[in-house]
Amino acid sequence: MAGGNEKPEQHQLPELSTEEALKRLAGRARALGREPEHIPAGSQLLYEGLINRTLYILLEGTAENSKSNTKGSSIQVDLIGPGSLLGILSFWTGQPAFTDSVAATDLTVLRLEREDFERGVSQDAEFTRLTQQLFVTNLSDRYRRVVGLNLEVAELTEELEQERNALRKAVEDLKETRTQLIYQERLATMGQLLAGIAHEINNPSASLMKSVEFVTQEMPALFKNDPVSAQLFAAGFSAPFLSSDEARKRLQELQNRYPELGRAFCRRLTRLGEEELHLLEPELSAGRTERVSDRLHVFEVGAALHSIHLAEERIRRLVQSVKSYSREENQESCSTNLENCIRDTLVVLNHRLKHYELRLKLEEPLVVQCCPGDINQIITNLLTNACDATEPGKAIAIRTGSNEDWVWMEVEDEGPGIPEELLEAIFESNVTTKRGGAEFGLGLGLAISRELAHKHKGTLTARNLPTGGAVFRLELPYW
Amino acid sequence: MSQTIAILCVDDEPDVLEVAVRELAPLEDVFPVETAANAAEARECMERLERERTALGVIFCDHIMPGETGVDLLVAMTNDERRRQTRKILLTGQAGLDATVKAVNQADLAHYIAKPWDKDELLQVARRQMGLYIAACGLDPLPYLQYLGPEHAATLLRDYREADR
Repeated sequence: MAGGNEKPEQHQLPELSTEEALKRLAGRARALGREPEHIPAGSQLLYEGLINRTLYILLEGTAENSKSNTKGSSIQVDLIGPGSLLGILSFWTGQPAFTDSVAATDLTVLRLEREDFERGVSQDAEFTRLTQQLFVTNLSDRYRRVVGLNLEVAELTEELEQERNALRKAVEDLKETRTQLIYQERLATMGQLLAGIAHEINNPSASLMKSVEFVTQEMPALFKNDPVSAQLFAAGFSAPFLSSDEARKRLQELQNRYPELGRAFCRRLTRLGEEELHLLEPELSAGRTERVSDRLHVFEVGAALHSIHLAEERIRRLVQSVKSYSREENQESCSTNLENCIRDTLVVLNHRLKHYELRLKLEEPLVVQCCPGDINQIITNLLTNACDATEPGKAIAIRTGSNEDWVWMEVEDEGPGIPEELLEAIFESNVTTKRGGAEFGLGLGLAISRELAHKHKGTLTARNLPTGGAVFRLELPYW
Repeated sequence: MSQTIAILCVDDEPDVLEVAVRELAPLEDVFPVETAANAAEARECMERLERERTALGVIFCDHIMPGETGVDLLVAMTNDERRRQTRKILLTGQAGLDATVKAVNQADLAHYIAKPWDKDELLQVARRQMGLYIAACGLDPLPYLQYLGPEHAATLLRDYREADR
């Protein structure tokens, strides 16, 4: 838009320049008996809070106005130059001086007392006009300064507000980082504990294994003069577990065959094969149940030893998985087979996952350069989320695959899915869709998982399935 | 002929079932022991027992199993008129506080056995709970007495006779 304010109309007499006005005023003052005075730098002209009856018209030099703030220290509020009036408020209103005024440089002033002024105004129209002009100029200067200061204050306030917001945000970010760090630290501590426990279990487990091997190996020697026991022991060691249904049918069959033996005794025969049963047949028919019972003990010892063997193997596999899941070197980047990470995590999370039908479709081998510990943590988070979201008995699927640049893994659940508006937000800290009271629902798992994915220059995204349920997809570059 | 009363053990680990059955063997001749690997099998087993007119006196049930949890199975039994009297026992290493509270409040849990259990614990608990079942059903304890343990036998018999009078 063009234009601006109209030029101010000129009234009566043309305005004089301040310089000219001062020169003339000095002339008129002389007529009143007032000469310009020199005041050395540092002299104080006005005292804040004291009554002042003098008007100083500053002809040359600079004066400084200052005011005490509420805390008692003196703040410079203004530097004023030639043409300014000092003490105008107190002079005019009779109230105490509003500020201190000190000569910042050597000054030349025109000092007018109350009676000088009144005399000038009553006798000299020119004096009146000149002082009026100075008053107006002074007041309008002061007014402009006030407006300017207000603007400045507004700008400063805005700046301050922005800075305050930035600070608030920074504090929030710090808090969040701190929570994440604590969480990470806790996970790391748990990892170390886990590794420690695995290590502690490893030794007794190894000794157990050695002992079982020894006993298994030496047992036949005990039976070298007793081929029937030797065979029963061997059969017990390799006896299959029967399902409840099979066991019940077999029990029924044996009870029919040996009605006189009783259910408890027949139960002991259920795991025997036909061949072993045949070995015992003569003694069974002869009703020598005590003798048969002794024989059965040998079979049962064999079976028990086999159970120990299987249990020990399970412990060993568990320890192995826990160790590779939580070992120290996992924090360093190395060639990592994604499938191993998944399988280790499955073992560690077995107690939760056994409620679900697990569908694995793993392309192999998928080797990526990454920290296995980070990947384990991502998989753990995704799987525990899937468990939290899915009703026991339903399915959780894990799939992996690759293309030229990427390796990907998807975890799919049969839960209710994620509200569309939260699909992105769930990756932020403190956002959780889990109901209150969830065991671990800090809303940090996905935030940390995504951060770990980014650390490996990968991505972690979520989407919903049209059939319900959610899919989380981790993509990692090979390098 | 007296009522046949069975014991049912439910666990997804075959060797746990194996050990449980072995330890309950002293009762088996009078209280047949049945097994199931999960809740669904347990339900089938209960239906079958009912067809065979066998009562179910005691159930030992694991909590964490594939499919339905043990506690849910026990709660469902309590809500079923036919299985309400059955003495319900959790045999578990993994039931958390919430699940256990639910079992106590909603399934009238009779006993809780933590894995691994002590030798003979299973047998002791089975004897005692079977005695309580027999008493609750108002059955004559006499035919079962020698299997219920001498410490329970006398009280059971006295209570039964007093109730009879």
